[in-house]
Amino acid sequence: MFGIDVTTAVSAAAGTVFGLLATELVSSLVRKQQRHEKSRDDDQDEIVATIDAVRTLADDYWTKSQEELGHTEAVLRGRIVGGIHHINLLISGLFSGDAKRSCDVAAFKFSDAAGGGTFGNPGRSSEPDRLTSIHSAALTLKHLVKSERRKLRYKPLA
Amino acid sequence: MKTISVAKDFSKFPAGRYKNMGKGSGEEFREKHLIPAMEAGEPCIVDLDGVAGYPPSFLEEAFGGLVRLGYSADDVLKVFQFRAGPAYSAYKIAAETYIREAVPD
Repeated sequence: MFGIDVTTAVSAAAGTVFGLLATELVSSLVRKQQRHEKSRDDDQDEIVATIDAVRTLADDYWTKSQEELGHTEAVLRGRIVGGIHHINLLISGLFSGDAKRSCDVAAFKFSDAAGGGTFGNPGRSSEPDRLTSIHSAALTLKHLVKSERRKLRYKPLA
Repeated sequence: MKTISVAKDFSKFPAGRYKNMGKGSGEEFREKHLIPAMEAGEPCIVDLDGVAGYPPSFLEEAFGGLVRLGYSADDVLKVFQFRAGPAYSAYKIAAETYIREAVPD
């Protein structure tokens, strides 16, 4: 009788420990997934914010001539190029494979619109007509980044 | 195969299109490194990594400028292969696109 009680108690204790361990394991995996997803969301938000920042800088840059901008021209140019590079860095950290390739192509089109043509040329005139292609490329890139972000799958054992 | 590293052999801060804009222009890079490689006709790797970002106008003038000077896009793409890490692959796409889209003067 006493032996059966001990066996039952040991079994119950083992079951409780196992249950606690399993619960903790599942909780740990869920927390890891939540951190991973938040990190991806943060990267996506930073890409979108940087695209908007570069777009605003490009507005200031292309609506004035080099002469009108004076020394600010070099400042805007540096910030636009730096912003585009930051977008490329974030995309490379967030995506891989076909998703990255698609985002790279869209990022190139955005950078070409914002920093191509007469960008930085001495005596450059203002080119407000360029803003349409800049905004269009920015919206396309933002949409693509969000779309590819939604497709990312969590790999628990990765 | 010869390798031209933009960061190590030219500048960590590539600037704009023309030499009259100052150091590190696409025109200067083309004249110092790309044209000699084209004339040698030997395949060559252009390593795009390690710089603080490329103005598109730099890449367009350096690589698209070769086509405007009379080199065919096919020949340019035969001579140059681009090496770019994940953060620089958009610049590789840019350089190859500018070569294909440039129109001879």
